[in-house]
Amino acid sequence: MSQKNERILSYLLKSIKYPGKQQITSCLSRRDTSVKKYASFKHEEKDLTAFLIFSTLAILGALLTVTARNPIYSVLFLAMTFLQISGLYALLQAEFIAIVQIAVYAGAIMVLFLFVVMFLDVKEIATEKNFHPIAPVCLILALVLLGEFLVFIFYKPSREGGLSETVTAVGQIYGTAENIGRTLFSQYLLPFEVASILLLMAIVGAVVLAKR
Amino acid sequence: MRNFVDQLVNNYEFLETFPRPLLYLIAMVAASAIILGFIAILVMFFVWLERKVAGHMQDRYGPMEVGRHGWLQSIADGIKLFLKEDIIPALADKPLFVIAPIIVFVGAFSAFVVVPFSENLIVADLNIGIFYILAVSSLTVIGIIMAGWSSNNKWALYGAMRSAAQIISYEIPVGIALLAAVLPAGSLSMRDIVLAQSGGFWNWFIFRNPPFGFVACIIYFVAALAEVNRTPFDIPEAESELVAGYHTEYSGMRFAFFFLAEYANMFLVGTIVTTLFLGGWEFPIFPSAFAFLNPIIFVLKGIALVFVMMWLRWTLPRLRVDQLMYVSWKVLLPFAFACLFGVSAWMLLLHSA
Amino acid sequence: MNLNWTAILPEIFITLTALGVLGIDLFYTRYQKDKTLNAIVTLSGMGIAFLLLPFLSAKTQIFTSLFVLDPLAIFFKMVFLISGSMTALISINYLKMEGFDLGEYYGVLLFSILGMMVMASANDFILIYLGLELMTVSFYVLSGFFKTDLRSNEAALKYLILGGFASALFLYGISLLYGVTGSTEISYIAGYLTEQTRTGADSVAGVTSAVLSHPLLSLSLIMLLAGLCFKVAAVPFHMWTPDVYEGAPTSVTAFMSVGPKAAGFVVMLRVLLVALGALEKQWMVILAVISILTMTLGNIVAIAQQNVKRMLAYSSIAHAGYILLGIVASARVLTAGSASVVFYILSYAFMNLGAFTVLLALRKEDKQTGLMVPAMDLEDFSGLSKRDPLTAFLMLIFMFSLTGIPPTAGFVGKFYLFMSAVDANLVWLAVIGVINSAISAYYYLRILVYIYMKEPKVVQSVDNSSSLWVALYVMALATLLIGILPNLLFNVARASVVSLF
Repeated sequence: MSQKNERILSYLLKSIKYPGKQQITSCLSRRDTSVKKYASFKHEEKDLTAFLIFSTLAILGALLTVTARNPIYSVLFLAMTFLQISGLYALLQAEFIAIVQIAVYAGAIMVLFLFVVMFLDVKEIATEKNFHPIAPVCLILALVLLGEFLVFIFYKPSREGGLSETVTAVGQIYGTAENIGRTLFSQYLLPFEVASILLLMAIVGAVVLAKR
Repeated sequence: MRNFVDQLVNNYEFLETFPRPLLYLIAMVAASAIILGFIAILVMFFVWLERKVAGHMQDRYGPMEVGRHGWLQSIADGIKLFLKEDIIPALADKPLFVIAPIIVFVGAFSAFVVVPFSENLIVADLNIGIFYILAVSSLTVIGIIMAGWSSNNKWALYGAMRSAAQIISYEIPVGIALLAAVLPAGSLSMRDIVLAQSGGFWNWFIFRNPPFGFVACIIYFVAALAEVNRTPFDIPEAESELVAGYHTEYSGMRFAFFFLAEYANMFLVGTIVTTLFLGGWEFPIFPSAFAFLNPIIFVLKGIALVFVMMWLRWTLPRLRVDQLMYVSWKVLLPFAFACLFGVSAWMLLLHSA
Repeated sequence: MNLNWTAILPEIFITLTALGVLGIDLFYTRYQKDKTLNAIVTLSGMGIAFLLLPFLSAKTQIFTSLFVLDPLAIFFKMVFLISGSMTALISINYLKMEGFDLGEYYGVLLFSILGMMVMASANDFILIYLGLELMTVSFYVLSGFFKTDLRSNEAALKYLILGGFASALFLYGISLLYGVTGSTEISYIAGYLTEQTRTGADSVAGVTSAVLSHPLLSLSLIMLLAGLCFKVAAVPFHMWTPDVYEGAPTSVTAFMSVGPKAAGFVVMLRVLLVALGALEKQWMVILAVISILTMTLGNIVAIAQQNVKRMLAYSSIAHAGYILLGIVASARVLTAGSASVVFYILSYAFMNLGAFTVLLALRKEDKQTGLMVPAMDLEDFSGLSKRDPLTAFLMLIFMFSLTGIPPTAGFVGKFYLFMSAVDANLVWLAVIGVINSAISAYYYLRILVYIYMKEPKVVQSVDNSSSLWVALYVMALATLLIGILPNLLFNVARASVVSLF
């Protein structure tokens, strides 16, 4: 891991006419320390069980979201999926993100969805017996895509080496509110500000389109 | 929790024969059961208290028949509710109708997991404690909407809609006002927040960073009243307009769930104010001398705040829907932002000095 | 952390102007019908930002490792600011005539420009994504700005749904790329992948390393390309373009056919040539196919259109195809190829905005109501040269330029593009491009036939507000000047891309 990083680092320092060398150096060293912290933190068996439960329920929820005939049920199953995903985040030691997931998605966005669905008074959708003529084509395409994804996911490189080792899991302290806050207001200050402008813009836009 | 169990095992050797995860599990379940039982009893007390307060404010006695000054009234009511027939309307959406009260109940009670009754009397000291409470209590909206929609009753649906709009709107001032206490504590953990206020009432966050701590506390309390659908913000259950709001069609046990959840939420608001602004488990003066009283002081502070809510309920009239939104978006929110700003400015000044 | 605040000064100015416009609208012009003040503030803000840019261009500056201000970014920011201010100029009277003179228009316009500027400077996929979203969300609002017009609503909704889907694809591509390389930073990814190429070449000749041939990398490449191709309206992600362009207010359409496209291409340059430069063999093939499809489909379908706005929409698809051709070529001839892309984008900005402006200025009498409504159909252009020879002549310039007839910007631009393709040994691609230009001549010149050789069929009038005409003159002059003195600008373009590599 570190050997490889050093090689990349030396390469970067030598060949890239890039002004932020310090950042890259610090970036890599930061990764190294976090990996060391990770080494002391061992995965437990029950994490796997929990992962399987959460992910199965999440996939189930997603499937039910799509197949439910009543839109209200769809939204509720979607909320369930979000809860399971928040569980997955919690397993990854990202407690803050997990709670954000619940508060924002399950708590606020899903409620707005429910709101809209109820306002529109969407009735149960009658089962379509007659499929659209293009449906078989869609099905074939979907199956092909699924196959491709499976290949992509289960692909094992025949030669040595694989994906980047710099994305080894991070330590226990990584997902805490303090760490996220610190990162947001230092390294990712600019994206944070742009995101805030984006939200402001969205509010302005919504008001413009909705008023009168 | 784990530390506690480990300690226990070290002290009592015979426990080592059991597998450790099993012990953890048992400890967790036991702690949850204790919390659940305690809160449930407290809630029954609140139901009685509410009726007594209402009575005395209206110059009457309130319940007097069951027990001395009616102190067993809640138990009698509870037995009645448990024994009542469970009615599900014919046109209701049955699965949702059944699940809804459970979600509301679970949302209200699971928030107590992080409430610190004293320094060590806390089920789980999550490092995102207060944020966890916000997230979990925001889940109750889903239950309320499910209840309103699945009842297939227009009053229930109206109530659910109003409630959802209200809770979502007031969540924003709530979150921002709480930051005014989280900032000086430098932590989201409920325990750390209380510890940051130790050493007498002048250290409480309500008196720190004047006047912003105080204003933030008031904002939180007002917004939280709206979040738990209490008067003067009880338009989702306005009985003169909507019968009973989202739980119009509920009866018996399922109604009891909603009822208990509402009072549990009231106590939750009380404990949050206590924890974040009123020094948590600490006695106002010479806290170390009264350390043995900590859990009792905490609960007493919570009860006092719940009493304030009842007092408000029987004093103030109900707001209109538009007034409600006005208060949230145009009054509480700007003031909450001002508080956040002011607290940060104070902290900046004090730190740089 | 040492932050170099000067690097983001133009962005700060644009943000402040946008907030100022919203503030002015709230406190001052709210009770007035006339929103010209908002437009003036908008224009002056953009002017200040524009004037600041050359002062910052002395050397490559960075704010954090996520944000660079290199000559390429400055060049594109200038393009955005110029086209943005042209849009503001042509909007002033148009919005009044259509009865939607709302002050927020200019605020939203400024936010969209801010998004593009962020995209042009972003050295990190997260920032690229945020800029992209800021830009697109603004355009969702702008395209639905005529609230009572059903077609405008349709445009906004279509753009929102398809745009959201494309953004999701792009984001998925980013996350996969992060999974493979361990970073979202473009410079880091570039270094990492190049390093992988070397280790692969060291071991066995002709064998790439395991990372480079990993399917996840290809998948992320495809996802990123899909997202970007949607933004620049390339086939097969072009379906939204005609409907959205037709339904949106014409001033918005004019800007939408220039700004987001340019922003999409600058991101493409950075992502493909810098970050994924090691994968050029993969993306070259994909992009070549997309380019051919885009050019051909855009041009052929444009022939069938009777509605000029729709025709210009398809023409803008075709132009995206030409630009993609340049990107394909720059895989082999880095500097010349990308310089020609940058050059073409600027020329395209002027000529396309000009064409849309003429369309916007032209109004006809509605036979039923007797009111003047925007002219849309080919028929409405007939006999324009007799009623208003000047407008007709300007349209001639723009149409010549779009076709690629000298001495206009379009000709020089296409010349450089096809030359770079020839330099890159992609003669067949250049030939396809030339054939397509020939096809496009049919429908561009058809408008001129209507204008010059037919008798008027409807009562026409041309918007004669001074702001619109200032913009129109600027664009026509620029189109001609670039065509006559191309070297000047091409050197700037070349200098701007050199910093990339």
